[in-house]
Amino acid sequence: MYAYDHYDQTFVEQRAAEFREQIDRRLSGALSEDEFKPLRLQNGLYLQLHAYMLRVAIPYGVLNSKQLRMLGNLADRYDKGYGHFTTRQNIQYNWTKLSDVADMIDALASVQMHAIQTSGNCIRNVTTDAYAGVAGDEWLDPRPSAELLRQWSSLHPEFAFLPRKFKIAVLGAAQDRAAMKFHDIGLWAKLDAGGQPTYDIWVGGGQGRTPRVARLYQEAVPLADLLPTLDAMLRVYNLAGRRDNKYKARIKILIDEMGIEAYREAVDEELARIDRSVFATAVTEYQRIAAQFETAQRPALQGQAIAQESPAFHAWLQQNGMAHKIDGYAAVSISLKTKGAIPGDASGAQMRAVADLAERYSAGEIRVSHRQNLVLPWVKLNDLGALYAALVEQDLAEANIGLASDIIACPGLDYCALATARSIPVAQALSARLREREQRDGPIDLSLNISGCINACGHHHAANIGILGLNRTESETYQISLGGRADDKAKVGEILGPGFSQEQVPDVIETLLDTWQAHRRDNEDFSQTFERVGKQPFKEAVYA
Amino acid sequence: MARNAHAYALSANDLLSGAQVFWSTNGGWSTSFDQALFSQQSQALEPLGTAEEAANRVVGAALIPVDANRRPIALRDQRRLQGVSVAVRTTDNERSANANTAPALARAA
Repeated sequence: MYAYDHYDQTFVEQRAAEFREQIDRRLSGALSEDEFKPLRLQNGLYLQLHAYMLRVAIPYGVLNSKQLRMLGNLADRYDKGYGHFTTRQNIQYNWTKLSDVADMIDALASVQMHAIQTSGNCIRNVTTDAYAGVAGDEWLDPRPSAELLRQWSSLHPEFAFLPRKFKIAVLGAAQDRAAMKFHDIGLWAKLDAGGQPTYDIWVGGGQGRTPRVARLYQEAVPLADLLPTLDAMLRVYNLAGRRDNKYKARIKILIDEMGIEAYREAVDEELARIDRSVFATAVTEYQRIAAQFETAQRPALQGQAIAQESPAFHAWLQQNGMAHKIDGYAAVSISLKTKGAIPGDASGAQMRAVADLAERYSAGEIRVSHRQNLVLPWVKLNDLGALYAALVEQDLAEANIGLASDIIACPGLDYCALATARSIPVAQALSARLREREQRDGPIDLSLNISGCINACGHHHAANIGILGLNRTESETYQISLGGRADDKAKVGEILGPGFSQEQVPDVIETLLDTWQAHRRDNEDFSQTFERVGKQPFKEAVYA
Repeated sequence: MARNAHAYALSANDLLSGAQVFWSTNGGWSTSFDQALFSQQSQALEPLGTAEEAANRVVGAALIPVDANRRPIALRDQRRLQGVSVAVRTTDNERSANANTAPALARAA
């Protein structure tokens, strides 16, 4: 893992001290709310329906055990005993008091964490594959690239007040496990013939009220050109992106309006003007960062066998285990989607328990996935049985990673000031219903995501079955979309028709699953069936 | 103002805790909607919200239109008033106790 150097630590501590002073000035009345709001947002502090919410950055979803233990302690000490892992690999505390925030930020700084740029119209936390560095299909560990981008984007003087927020994801594997094409910029890192990093750059993806799959901007950009190219891309957006209408301010709209060719020409012009000397150290810095991740590499283990046991264990390993790039290890996902649970929520005790297990079984390392689960990336095969038993004790051994009951959901109108409908109770009801169905009939291999408003934090556009909660004449209604996907064949789902009440949703979803099964050929996945038969049979079934 | 509004209550977030509060019949803020002051004139409450924000006691002051049964008309206000749909694990009192008894965070980590 990357460890802060003196510069990083000083930066975070100075920012913590600065924000403490700003909070003190707010509490004393020296700052009005209008003056304080942009400052608190730059530090991840929102005001929600029932309390302040602090969003803590988990850079590219990587945590060490000490950090996760701290997150658990913060949940117990300053929240109501839990935190919520988000689709951007961060964690949110939903019951924060303004008077506690400075102490929380100090505590985070003590473990090399912060909440900087988790809100506001700036470059947000860079995300990546939760299996980065260990996935069997990976050709380049994306974490050094993500860390380089974290350093480049942190307090970047030009990009603190962009037209709108800006999200970047980095991949380094054959399979997209980070919804890369639904980001403002997606980087697909590869190796050139000489073994050096290059990047395919995708631009203009996003969800929200105008969902777009990113378009290919340029292939095989060498590492030395990466930051100048990104700087130029952001500069053009910063200058030309719309500021008159927040709903048309994302880069996807600029690309729509300019066209990708005109955008590319504008970036090329900017790139020709850019002073590249400021990026002269980027390659050296990348190498310094990458060396720290290489220390996590471990020798292959010979002759290790899985010494277990029960069918439940094997079902769990089959569903939650991931092939590792090094022999003798597995990466294991810990589902935060137990039957009837709130997707992404973990209690303080659970976080501490996972931290302990990471120390015992995973080299002290944990990942947060964009599907709101945790990953232990370095589990020796012969430790899997003991790990499983320990997870069972913590009620963290649900074997449903990647299944329908592995639901993504945003906090919705239970907490969020922007939401138009509740998503948590819908997710809970569906989780209970679908988990029962999976346990009765076998795995249901599809994605089901729920958003409580059109902003789409719950990634409903990108799901095989998406659910969007809306307010129709002061009543919650849930609109269904089908056929979305977030992988390398990314696609926006198609709206099925008029919405349903909260009570109707579980039956509607079961009808959709029955319809899929009725039309499914061989081992087709949901997308294959949907692309072959279209939405008509599904529509006929649910609106019959 | 809102169509069909029979009356209005004044709501805000408490500056320190962020908790939803209501301007009460006692002339101060209360976390209980039962104690809320209702006025049929929105203009009677709006300046009060502005003044209370300026006095640094609350943020996000806004009127809640209610029907004849003093039930919020807007879905958002209804849900906000109901509170979260799940049982929170720790009460405010328990949280205060945690804060008083928990070890120093740097040590605990």
